[in-house]
Amino acid sequence: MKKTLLILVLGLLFYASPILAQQRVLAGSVLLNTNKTPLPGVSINVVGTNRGTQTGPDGRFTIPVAPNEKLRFVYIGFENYEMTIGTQTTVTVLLKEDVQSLGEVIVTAMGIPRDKKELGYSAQEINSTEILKNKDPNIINSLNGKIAGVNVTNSGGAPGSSASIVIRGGTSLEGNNQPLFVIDGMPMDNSTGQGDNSAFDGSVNMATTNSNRAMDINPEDIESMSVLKGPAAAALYGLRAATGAIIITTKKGKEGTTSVSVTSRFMTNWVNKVPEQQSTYKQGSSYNGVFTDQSPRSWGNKFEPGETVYDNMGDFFQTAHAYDNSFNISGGSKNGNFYLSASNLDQSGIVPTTDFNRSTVRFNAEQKKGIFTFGVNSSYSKSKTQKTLTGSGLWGSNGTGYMESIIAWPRNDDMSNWLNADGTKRRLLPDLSLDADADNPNWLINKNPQTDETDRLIGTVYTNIKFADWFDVTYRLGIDNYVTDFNSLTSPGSSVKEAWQKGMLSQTTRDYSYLNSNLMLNFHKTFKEDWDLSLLLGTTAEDTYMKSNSARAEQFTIPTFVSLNNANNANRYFNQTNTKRRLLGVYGDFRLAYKELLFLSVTGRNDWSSTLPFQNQSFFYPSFSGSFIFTELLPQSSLLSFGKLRASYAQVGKDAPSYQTQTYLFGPELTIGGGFRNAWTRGNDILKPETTTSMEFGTDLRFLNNRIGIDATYYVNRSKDQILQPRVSNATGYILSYVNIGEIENKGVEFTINASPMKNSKLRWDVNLNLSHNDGVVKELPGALPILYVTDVQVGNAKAASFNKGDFMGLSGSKWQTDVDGNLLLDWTTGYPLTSTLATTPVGNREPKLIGGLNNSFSYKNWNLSFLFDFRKGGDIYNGTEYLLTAYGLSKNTEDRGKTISFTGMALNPTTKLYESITKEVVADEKYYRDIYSNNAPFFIEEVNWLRLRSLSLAYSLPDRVINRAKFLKGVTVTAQGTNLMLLTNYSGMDPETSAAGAGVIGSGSVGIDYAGVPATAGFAIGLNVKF
Amino acid sequence: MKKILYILVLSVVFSSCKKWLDVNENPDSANSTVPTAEQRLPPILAQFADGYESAGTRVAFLSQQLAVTYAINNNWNFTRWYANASNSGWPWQAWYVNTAVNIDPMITAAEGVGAYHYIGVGKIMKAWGFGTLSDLFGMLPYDEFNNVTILTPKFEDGSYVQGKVLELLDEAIVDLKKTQEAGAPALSVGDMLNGGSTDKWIRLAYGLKARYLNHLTKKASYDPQAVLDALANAPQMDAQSSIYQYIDEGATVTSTSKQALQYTNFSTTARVTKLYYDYLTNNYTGAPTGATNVQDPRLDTLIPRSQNSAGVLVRSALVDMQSVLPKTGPIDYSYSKNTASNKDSIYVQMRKNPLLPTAGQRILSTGSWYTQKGGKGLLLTNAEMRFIEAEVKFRQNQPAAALTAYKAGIRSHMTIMGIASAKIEAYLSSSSVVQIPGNLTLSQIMIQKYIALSYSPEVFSDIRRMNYCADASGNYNESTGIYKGFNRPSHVYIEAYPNATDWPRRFAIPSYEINYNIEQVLKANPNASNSTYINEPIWWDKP
Repeated sequence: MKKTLLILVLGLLFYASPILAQQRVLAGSVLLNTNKTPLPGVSINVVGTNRGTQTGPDGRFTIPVAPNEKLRFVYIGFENYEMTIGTQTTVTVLLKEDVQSLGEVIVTAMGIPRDKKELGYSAQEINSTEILKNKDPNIINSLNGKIAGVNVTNSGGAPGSSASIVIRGGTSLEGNNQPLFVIDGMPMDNSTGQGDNSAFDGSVNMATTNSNRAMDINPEDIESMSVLKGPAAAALYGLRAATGAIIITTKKGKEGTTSVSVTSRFMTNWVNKVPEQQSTYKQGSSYNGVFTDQSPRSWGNKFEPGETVYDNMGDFFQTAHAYDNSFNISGGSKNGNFYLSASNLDQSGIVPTTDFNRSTVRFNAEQKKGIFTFGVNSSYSKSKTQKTLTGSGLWGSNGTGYMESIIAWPRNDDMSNWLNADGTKRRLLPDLSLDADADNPNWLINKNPQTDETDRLIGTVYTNIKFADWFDVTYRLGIDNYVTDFNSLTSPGSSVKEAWQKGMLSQTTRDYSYLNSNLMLNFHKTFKEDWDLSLLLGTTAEDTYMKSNSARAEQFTIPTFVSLNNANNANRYFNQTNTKRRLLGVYGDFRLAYKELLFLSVTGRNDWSSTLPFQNQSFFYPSFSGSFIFTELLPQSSLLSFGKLRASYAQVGKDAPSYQTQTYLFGPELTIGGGFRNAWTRGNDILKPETTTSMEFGTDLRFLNNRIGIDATYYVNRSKDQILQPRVSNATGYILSYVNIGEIENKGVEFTINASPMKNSKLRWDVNLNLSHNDGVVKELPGALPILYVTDVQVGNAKAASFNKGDFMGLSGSKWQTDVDGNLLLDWTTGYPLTSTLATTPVGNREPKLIGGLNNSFSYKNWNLSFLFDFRKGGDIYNGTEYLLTAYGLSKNTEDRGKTISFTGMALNPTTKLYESITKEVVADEKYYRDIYSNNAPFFIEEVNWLRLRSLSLAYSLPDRVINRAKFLKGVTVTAQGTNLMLLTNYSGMDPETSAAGAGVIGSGSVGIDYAGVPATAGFAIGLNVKF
Repeated sequence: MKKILYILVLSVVFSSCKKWLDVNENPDSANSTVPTAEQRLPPILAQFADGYESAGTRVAFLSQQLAVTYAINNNWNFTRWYANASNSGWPWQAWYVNTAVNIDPMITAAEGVGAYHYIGVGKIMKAWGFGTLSDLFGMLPYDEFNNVTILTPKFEDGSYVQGKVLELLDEAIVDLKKTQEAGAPALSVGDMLNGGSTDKWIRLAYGLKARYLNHLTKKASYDPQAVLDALANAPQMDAQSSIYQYIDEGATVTSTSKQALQYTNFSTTARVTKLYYDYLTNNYTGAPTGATNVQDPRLDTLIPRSQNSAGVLVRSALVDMQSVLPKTGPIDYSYSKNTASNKDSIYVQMRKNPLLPTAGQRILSTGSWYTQKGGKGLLLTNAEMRFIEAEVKFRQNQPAAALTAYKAGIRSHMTIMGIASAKIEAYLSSSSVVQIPGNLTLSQIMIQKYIALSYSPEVFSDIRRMNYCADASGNYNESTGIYKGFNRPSHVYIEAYPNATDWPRRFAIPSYEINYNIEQVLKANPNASNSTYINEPIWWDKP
């Protein structure tokens, strides 16, 4: 067969001639491969020509052909079939039903490929073509809008910035809620950044844009990504499977020829939306009752006619570019295959000086020898990022992020003028002390860069021994090692706290090393034809070790020399953290199939985790799932061609982070006499694992000969015994205390509709619509706790928070006070509404009511046009950027300052000591906006809807007849892609897909908090792919 | 046989797995059972001093010793007598979380080696911290503090806590008199307050007893003799005072951990009030005065000065808390160019500036004695003891003894401040100080104590006990009141003090308890989350 193919190919290459041999008429019939019934309406065409026909009602056809021409048979719901014409005059073609549209194979937990129809739970797969249609440096972003129940949030437009992914809501109040990433059978780290070193160098998640480490993967290397949505799907992975799993399979060489593929892309990106600013008022402040121009705020006089109003914000951002080149060579024989690839991405950011550069190399290979199969999947990557300070800059630094500075910059001053003629810093307010002044964003991006560099090796080696048809063993050993160097520089002369005004340099090296050993025994046997049994038994051991070394120097001796050595000994600091965790697991999966009718699966796993106290180290959890294909019992119908019901129940345990079973120390202390004291967090030596219990019901229906498919799922997930370190009464002796209390419930529905409204030899239209809704609710919090905050995300007068018996993804904030009847409480003398300093009132829910995507793909001849819309309905966003604009007096909203506002409400009469209804007029001045207006968080909360053209892609492949003329060429494809070209939203701020602190935030995360980050971008890319 | 082999193999596998999994001990930090007593004590003292002196800072703003340049901040709220969940929090947290939780582990470690002196010191610190908090807050968790199974500790009334505090002090005195076991660490190793002197610690314990027992002046149970008995064993000389010596590590060291708390806390926004200046300069109703008046020699070390455009050092302008100034100014010093003509620069900051003036540089502030980076924390002094004695003797109608103690109190404070003795004696023998026993008033005693206890949390206890400058009905009364001229600030927080007879009586319950322990808070006092809670007298502040 292989030889024939080779001869054919050679024949095509060498004997293709412009003058075709004489045409003749070929007659034939097309039949169903199973029962040989004729298929009417099958499209037939001669490849590379305009000749085509269809089969008649009897499945017969005739077509004029010439020798060596290729015929293509296309029929909806069936696999395409191609054949080369020899000398024959008649032909019978058997078409097979398309497994892509019906018997889709999905890579499930532990890398086991299974027919989708067998699955008792919801899982979805995305193939490489789909991933590359809107290729993003961060593979997580390529999933956005494509899968029901999957919520992807890109944190902003900075190159290399993180995106968070949450499947079916969060299960942990204070844990990582992102799914487990598994690459080629091994769990892989997808943590984000270093925003956890705040006490050492002020690095918090909001201070800059960090990368999530799945970004180290070259998207071109991915063959498929399976999304296992719930505990039932992922139960075999244990521990982290409560949040679902993303199973990545990388490419393999295919048996046959060796092929080479080269892809080059050029991208350009621009800011898609920046906030508006007022252009009426200049710099100054009258906050203290007396006007002063010694303030960066814009509460000053009106611009005079003819005065320049600088567009500081609009002028700041640049058009970004990226060059993305990749190469791969792959091939294989009967006994072995290989895939070798290399790639480089060089991307600049819309914020000048920022960039992201990634190079990757991958080698995958497999060799069979007798009953043995040996294989390796390995990749090496190097990623470098230059970032800038976002949010309010480094924690406790008294500085600002670049965007806060832009937001603050008065428009009577030319912000681009940031250096004096002699090269020194041009200050906005040179008469103020340095820490009271504001840094120019151009100073921040040029002088205070935040950089990181990661080298990473991910590799697995495996052996499979096939002892018998019914029994094989696989052993896999994997490593995931990376070293990231983080650098944070505050140059001398920056407007920061005194200690850093003469410079601060911090360097952190994070060394992550992970080892995974996995042994699996697979048994599979069919009895009496109808009964199919499989059993999987396995054991796994994981060893994770993370070492983080941080060093910091303050007050440089030589101001211009940037080095840790360039400071006095007393101003050099060092800190090390080591985190170790180990896990042993034993698991089993028993599956039973009866005919094509009934499929059942039972799994069980027992884990032993090092992070739990000894008596609670071992824990077991089972899962049950089944599917029932009821159409097997019904007479065949072209209306309902396939119908399946499925149900599952699963439990998954989750262990604690390391070192929570004991109380540790602060020290040696820097206070007089040194010594040690207890840390703020109390350890707990009776911790037990968290448990997530999940129930899922679904159906999968196909209509009109599989032309339309509908998939619907309903699920309820409950996660209890949450391991938390809530803030507690100080009188416990601690600020935080580890406890084992708390419950979250997620309920939701998911719909997916797949349809192929058109499919013939020339035109094919596929459309996919997905919709999902999730409702995450906190059922219980420890003790009398009304609220749990996400420590990283407390901005303006609002915080990301989870409420007891309320929203998991809530927003808490301060509010104007009201009495029980809802009347505003006013100040008797001033008439201002009374504000509260406690930001504990529920003021919003960040969880969208509905998210979804509409994905379309049109293929016409050699053209493919795809576009993906995604949409969201509901869910609140706290517009912290608008809060800042208001405080600095640059919000559009403050343009009508000076107007009179009338408030009616209740006020305490100091004479009568009673609350009385009053109406008072107040002037909306600077003080009002800054102290009264801003303190009512609801003014900055918006319920957001959007419709977005997430991606638009047009591809053209050179026709075969052109390809065939050029020797050695196998394919040429030109693509043009647009990203975010259209965004319709009611949100008044920047792009509403926002997450102020990125993906590294635990618990309910920072999604829905907009606070002076890097605005999202729109972009355009052109690419060329050549295959040899 | 085969079975046994299996069991053997399994048990080997199991025990090696157990060992493999045994990696949950943090390699980067010892756990809380590890430190020895002498490693525990220095942070206990440093963190206690932080909480205690920071409470003093708050009291200084509340008691009109200090004003704040205009800003809606925590200290400014104290100047309008607005203690709230946020600005009351630090003394609470500094005690419970940073200090108290470390005392039992120190005592346990000390018990293991027979280091009785550490046990005694631990008990004194525990008594002192709870006693201080009890006086500020009136109610607080004591019995259920630091209980691993309780996340929401119940509150006790201050009267209960004071009973425990006095017991602890008695126990401590016994422990400090014991001889330590051989091999036990000497107290001097970890004692950064009293240099290992058990005598000073014992005197401190008695001094605290005197302080707490003397709080009961409004109570029927007030026992002046018990106060005098405690005073007899308390510090008699300045050198017997418990004074925390801070360290100035120099301009190039970034860490601020060893510098004086009041340098840190006053920052650049604290300003001197008119009241404080009037007390220092005897400019109040009934102040001692006469032909031989002498300027208080402490004046220029307590009131900062700055150079005017002619280079002459001029004392800070004063903030009159009854004027509109607290509402509208003085604005931040930094908002203007530093020329002396500007109105804001005459309100001189408490921090010395520049810290190390170079030749020709203008002095923006000479700073004050309390705000030197390497200053002293006057935690419990001979001066305070003498003023307690003066008060008790005055109450016992022994004016001569009262006058002696009153003068000794002034002398002690001046001596601790390093004033030359000739100047002290010149002042003490002048008409600026009462010379005739019969002329001495309680007001004069308390006002001198107010100066001698500048920025101490104990001032809050005194002004409450004396009912500010109010008469029996609670109304301001210049003639019968004690703290003459101490009246409502112009920007008083009216929600908490709607009536003219309402005065600050306690700190608000901190946010950590309001947010995470509200049930217990309300169980102890249903009014605790309301704004008028802070005008409710605590247990000893009412009959």
